Amino acid sequence: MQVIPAIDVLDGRIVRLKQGDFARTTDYGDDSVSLATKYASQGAAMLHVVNLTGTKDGALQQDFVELVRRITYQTNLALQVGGGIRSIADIYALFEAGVNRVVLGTIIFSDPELVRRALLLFGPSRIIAALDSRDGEVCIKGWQECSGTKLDDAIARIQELGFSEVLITDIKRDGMERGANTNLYAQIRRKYPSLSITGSGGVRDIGDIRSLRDAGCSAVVVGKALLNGQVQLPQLIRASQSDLAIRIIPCLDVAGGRTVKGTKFQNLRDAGDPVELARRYCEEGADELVFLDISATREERDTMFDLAAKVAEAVNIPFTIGGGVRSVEDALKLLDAGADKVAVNSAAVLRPALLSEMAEQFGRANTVCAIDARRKGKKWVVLVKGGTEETRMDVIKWAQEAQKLGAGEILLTSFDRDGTKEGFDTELLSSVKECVTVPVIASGGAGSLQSFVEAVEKGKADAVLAASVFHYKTLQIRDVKKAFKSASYPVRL
Amino acid sequence: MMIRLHSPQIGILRYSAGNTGSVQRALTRLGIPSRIIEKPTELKDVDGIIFPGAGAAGTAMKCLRETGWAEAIQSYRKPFLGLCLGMQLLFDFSEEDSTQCLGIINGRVTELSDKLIKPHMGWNKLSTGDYAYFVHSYVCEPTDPSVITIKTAYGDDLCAGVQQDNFFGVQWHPEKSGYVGDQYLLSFYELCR
Repeated sequence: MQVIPAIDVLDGRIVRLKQGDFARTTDYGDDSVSLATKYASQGAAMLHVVNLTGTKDGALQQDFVELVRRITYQTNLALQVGGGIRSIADIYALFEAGVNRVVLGTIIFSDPELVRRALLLFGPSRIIAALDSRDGEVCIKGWQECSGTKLDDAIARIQELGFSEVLITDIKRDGMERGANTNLYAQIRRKYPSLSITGSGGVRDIGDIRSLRDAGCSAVVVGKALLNGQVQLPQLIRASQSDLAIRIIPCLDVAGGRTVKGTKFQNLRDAGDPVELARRYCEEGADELVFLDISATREERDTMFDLAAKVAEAVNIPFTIGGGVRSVEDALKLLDAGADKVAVNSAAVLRPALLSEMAEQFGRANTVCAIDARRKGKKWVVLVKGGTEETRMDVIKWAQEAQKLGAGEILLTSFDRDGTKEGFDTELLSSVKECVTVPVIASGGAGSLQSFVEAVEKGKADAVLAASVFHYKTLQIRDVKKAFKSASYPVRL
Repeated sequence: MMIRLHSPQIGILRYSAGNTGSVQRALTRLGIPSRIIEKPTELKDVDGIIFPGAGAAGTAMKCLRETGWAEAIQSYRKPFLGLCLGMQLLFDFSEEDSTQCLGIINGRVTELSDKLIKPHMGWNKLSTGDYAYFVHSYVCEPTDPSVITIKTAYGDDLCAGVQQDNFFGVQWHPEKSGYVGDQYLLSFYELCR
């Protein structure tokens, strides 16, 4: 399902109406081009532009055509434009200005023959129908008039005219942020399975996006919620694409075969047998596990191979092993023992080619780059050797480099937050996330349930890792998942 | 009275280091008898094959050709299950390293869109409603859509499972997909009996 941000233009200004009422407008300035550019940079492929002046007056103004031209020239967005189109010449004028598709509403009822001709001339991929419904009745002329036609009859009519796509707006929901009328779309979808439906009106969050996708909409138009900043476009796009769950990952630091946990990588306490803990977490609903070997000696380190085999036989979820991995041979031994992914940290900083060697040998999907970051002014620097040594490397640059070399995932730990329960460093996370395309695991600082949700909401993390809060049962994995579910994120329950 | 001479055994195809560990442990956990097989001559000793892919298509196909596995798989008539890359290699061609693959199932393997977070990693919902664990950047596009048994949504609807004759494939990892994965592997074992 495609997410299409909307810009409604009234006399050159960006506005939003409440329920289509021209007396209840909110003004968002006059810089449509900047707004369009922002939406494009956030991942939009198409922009929905409504000419409210045209809708109201029943005509297409040259000013509006020029505005549209500026947007198509200055962005790579496909444009879908409607409002006040009353002739074939209007449609030509918009296409000539670079518009991709035009949206016809009122003239479907006032001049169906013209509409039929337009569909024949330009084809149903470039002409889409817009039906605005209030309580099952279609409204026209910027919702100022009722057509007297039932929505159901109108849909049958547009199909007969030759449309294959229809934008259906529920006026009562529009600009009200009360959620989309999912039932309406699902009903229409069932009755007219060959018609592509774009939902519009009242979309406020990713929960609405998900239910419209489930209702079978092929696209959704979002206006006010984006303008108000109550939801961000990338999150909506993400939710429109998939039910990929936010992963909750307990992390076990292991030394000499025992789980340990400290604060800022110091003052280690015993936290139990790693295989037992792994089994417990798996039963409690963990999506994945991470084991980090923090052993001091080579002999202790060799116990990790044995641990990988035992864990693989004990749990039916994926797990990553890291810590002390120096070579492709080490990594292969861990994979052969049963680990799914191998994380490298200091060794990759010292010899970045290790990442490419691993990716080449067993795939980037199984190659994780763990990065320990310490805040320094407005930046973050990479730490090595379990946080004991600071390098001059910039975390963001290193993350980009690691991705380029072959890392398929980044495990990003904030040294400053580790073990403090003060919440994740969401600035660090979002800064890295903006610069890489691979998944990022948030680590360091897990505290309250809210802190987990913030790592994803503000930090844009794909997965959230925690140790102490799970080891010492401050939080249950299930409760963390419920918190995500209440915030409308998909989780595997 | 029928006497079973041997309990059926699944062969895990090992064509290079590192690709068999987690599947082998999963079968052990489920009590499914299995052995690692490295040469096509060992095929006679097993009742079905699991082929866990690892690494990139190019290197994997090169290994399969050099070791004689490519022909052995093409002419295999017992149940065969390809996991992840193991499923992708069953197709004609993969965009990954522009690789000619085994050509058992018609179709291409294409790269996921750059607009998506890549790899597609984590638990995603299957068309069956269950969550399963995925890790991949390439996706199968069978010529004949009727070979698709399972789908998942990631950007578009992706092919998450296929079947053609004795060849089965899943893009997700049943060895790592909790109860759902366990059930899938147990059903495959039943098929080999």
